[in-house]
Amino acid sequence: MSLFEADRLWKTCRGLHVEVHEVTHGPLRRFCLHCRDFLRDNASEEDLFWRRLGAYTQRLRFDLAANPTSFAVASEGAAERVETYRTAVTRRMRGYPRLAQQAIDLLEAAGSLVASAEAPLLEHIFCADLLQCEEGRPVGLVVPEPRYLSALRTELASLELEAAPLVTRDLASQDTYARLIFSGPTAWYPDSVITSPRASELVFVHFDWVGPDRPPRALLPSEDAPGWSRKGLPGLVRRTFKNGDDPHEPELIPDMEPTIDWTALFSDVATDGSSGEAASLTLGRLCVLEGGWAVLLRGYDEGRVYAISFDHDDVSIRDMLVDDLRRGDFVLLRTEGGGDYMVELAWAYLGERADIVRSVLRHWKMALGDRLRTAGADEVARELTLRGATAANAINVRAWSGEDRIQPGSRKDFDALMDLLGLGESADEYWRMGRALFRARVRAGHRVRSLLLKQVKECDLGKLHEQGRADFRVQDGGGEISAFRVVALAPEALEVPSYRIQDPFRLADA
Amino acid sequence: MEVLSRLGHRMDGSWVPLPDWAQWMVELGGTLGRRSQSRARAVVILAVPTRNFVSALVSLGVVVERATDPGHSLSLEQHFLRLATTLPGAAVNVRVGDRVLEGVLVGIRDMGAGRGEIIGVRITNEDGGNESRLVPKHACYRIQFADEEHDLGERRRTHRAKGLSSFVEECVGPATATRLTERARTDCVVYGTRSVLSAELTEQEFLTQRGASGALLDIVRAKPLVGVGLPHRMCLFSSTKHQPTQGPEVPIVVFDGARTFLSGWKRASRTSCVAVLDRTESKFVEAVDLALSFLRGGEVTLVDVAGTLDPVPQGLEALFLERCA
Repeated sequence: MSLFEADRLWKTCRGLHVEVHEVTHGPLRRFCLHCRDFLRDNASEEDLFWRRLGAYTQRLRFDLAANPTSFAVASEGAAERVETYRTAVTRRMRGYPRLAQQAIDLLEAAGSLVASAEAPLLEHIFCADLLQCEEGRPVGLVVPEPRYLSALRTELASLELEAAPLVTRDLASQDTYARLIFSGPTAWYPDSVITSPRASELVFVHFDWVGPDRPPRALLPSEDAPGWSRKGLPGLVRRTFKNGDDPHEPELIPDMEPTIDWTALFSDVATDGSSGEAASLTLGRLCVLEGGWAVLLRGYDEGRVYAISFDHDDVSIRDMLVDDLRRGDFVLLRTEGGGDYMVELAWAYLGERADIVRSVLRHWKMALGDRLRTAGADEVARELTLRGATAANAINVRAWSGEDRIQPGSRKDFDALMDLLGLGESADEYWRMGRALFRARVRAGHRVRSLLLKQVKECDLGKLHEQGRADFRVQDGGGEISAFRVVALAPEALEVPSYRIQDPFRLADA
Repeated sequence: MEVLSRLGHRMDGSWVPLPDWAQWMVELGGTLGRRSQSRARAVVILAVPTRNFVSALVSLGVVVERATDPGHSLSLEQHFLRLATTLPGAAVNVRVGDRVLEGVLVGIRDMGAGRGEIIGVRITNEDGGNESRLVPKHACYRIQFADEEHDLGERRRTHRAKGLSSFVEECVGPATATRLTERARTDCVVYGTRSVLSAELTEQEFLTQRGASGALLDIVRAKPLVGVGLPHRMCLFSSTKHQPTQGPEVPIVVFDGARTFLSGWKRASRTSCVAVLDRTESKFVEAVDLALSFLRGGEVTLVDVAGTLDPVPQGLEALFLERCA
């Protein structure tokens, strides 16, 4: 970027104008209210059916309110789902009369919307001349979800409307626009869209029950001048566009953004894939991925996963801490061939030594597993600490007993462990074996990274961002590795069979 | 800073001054460069719409200020003359390898036969004993007066002036330009994406009002871009795993990006640092929260810089913190 281009970005901060356009739509507002009441009333319901229905209608509500395309396009495929749910609800009418009636009302309100060709937000954007600009520079239309882009592009083209469909990520580039129109309130977008604007005119268009339009956070929180009147902010101009058929008083519906019912998902994970066979347990962190997929990632401290890192235009593959994953990151998972290719490749690198290393690891890990079963993780951790270990805690000792974690990283911890298991005499030899496997994994990691990086750099990154997934074929018999966009990461880890780690699966309600 | 009235860039074929935000960044670097002589250590957090050129311009300010400031700017001859005209017995600090030892000046002696002059010092070694050292004239920067605040730990080497251009001379003046090309030292370290930083230092054309053109690298002389054997004034590192120097810390560390700041701030725990955070970065909020945690934890205090620096330009938010003693 040249100094001139950098200066252009700084200049958009000057004379910034921010407007909020609130529009109304009676049927959608009624559906949103039904949805709010249904979610509130079945929040403590233990039957997962109702919770899944709640989660589904919450997602549908967000799509209808956030995607500026016509309702039918925004809710593609929903008509069938709504009908299926309606049938299922009818069957539960006798057992849950009140909840079922509430659900029927909700689904009826949804049914009429998902078949509708109305597009109130887009109509407003067109009628308010927001797509017109005199400067000859493009106007950008920003949506909160990348999955809306494809349909939005098609709809804009069919209506012959000239606007660039964008998501927040596009606003990190150096491109600037004559005006940026955001579908939704400021709360649905990161502060940077206002504090580092890519146009000097920003218009947030949303329904009048959606919000809030909160000001960006100040670098140093202060109570002196809160809100939009804060120094350095342009202030906010709010304009309301009412139509006659919905003369209600605006009432903000909180929590419009879909949330994830982790309890329901954990329950799915607990029942899914349980073959009944004895398998070593490890800690897994559930991660919801784009397109109705999920995966269990290494859940212990320092658990890592390969991810694609985008630093503006620079793409790299990084070995990221699972803890550091954020919504929008792309994790790389093997989707053909099973398990973790890097682990498999590491064993291959060890060659003839692999069998010995495997048997050594199995030997002490089984002994540790027995000890954990009899004494418990806390007691084992305490005993290790008494023997000089520095990182022994219940989580780590369980992780050390799993197949995924080779051995403690510190020699002090390892010696304490060997001493506890009565293997002190073999400590040196066992440590060397573990280190050999570690080095093989590092080497395998470099190999996998270099194999993938070339393909990732050559792939259509725009498409990757839009679709939230891309598949890469790995040479050397590595099968297929897919990049999935992270939707959410569970706040806590749960104990799962180690073979399920890094093995993506479809969610039940996808 | 004087350099700001001379340095500009080309727009529509003619010279225009640097944009206000760019000038502010150079001023900030200058302020930090001046402060580097005091014991107070600053932590500056900058939230910017784009990181481009920010670290480079802050470094420019640091390097120019430290080259201009008399405390840092005595030429080899001038420094030698000061030592030579000082009475024996004056307390000095002497750099030996990577250590700085206390001692007293003994005197100057000409070795004869074209071998040049040497400075004698008596130092107190780490065992508490005394030993004598003879420091050749060309290495006299290793000796500094104990009652003056200098970057005693800097390993300074003398070089013959190379690459002195009219661009540098017009920007910073002939005396400072000579000093920049005369000896190597690290005034500033920047951690960040090296390819981007390198491009900013080498590819963007800057102009003086009199028409000489050049790149920022000509002035800041960043290692490793400046070339092997040529004196440098700053260092670029792509990863915070790199140690800026062996031994003592450099005066100013710039972290270009939130991720770099988060992974490397501990490396600058004893020095002044600047974190350049692009608000569009995914780790922006975490980096700001880290800085605020210093404030909440009482490790730093807020500093009022009104009167020292111009008001911050539109689009920039800045936090000025000072490490508590």
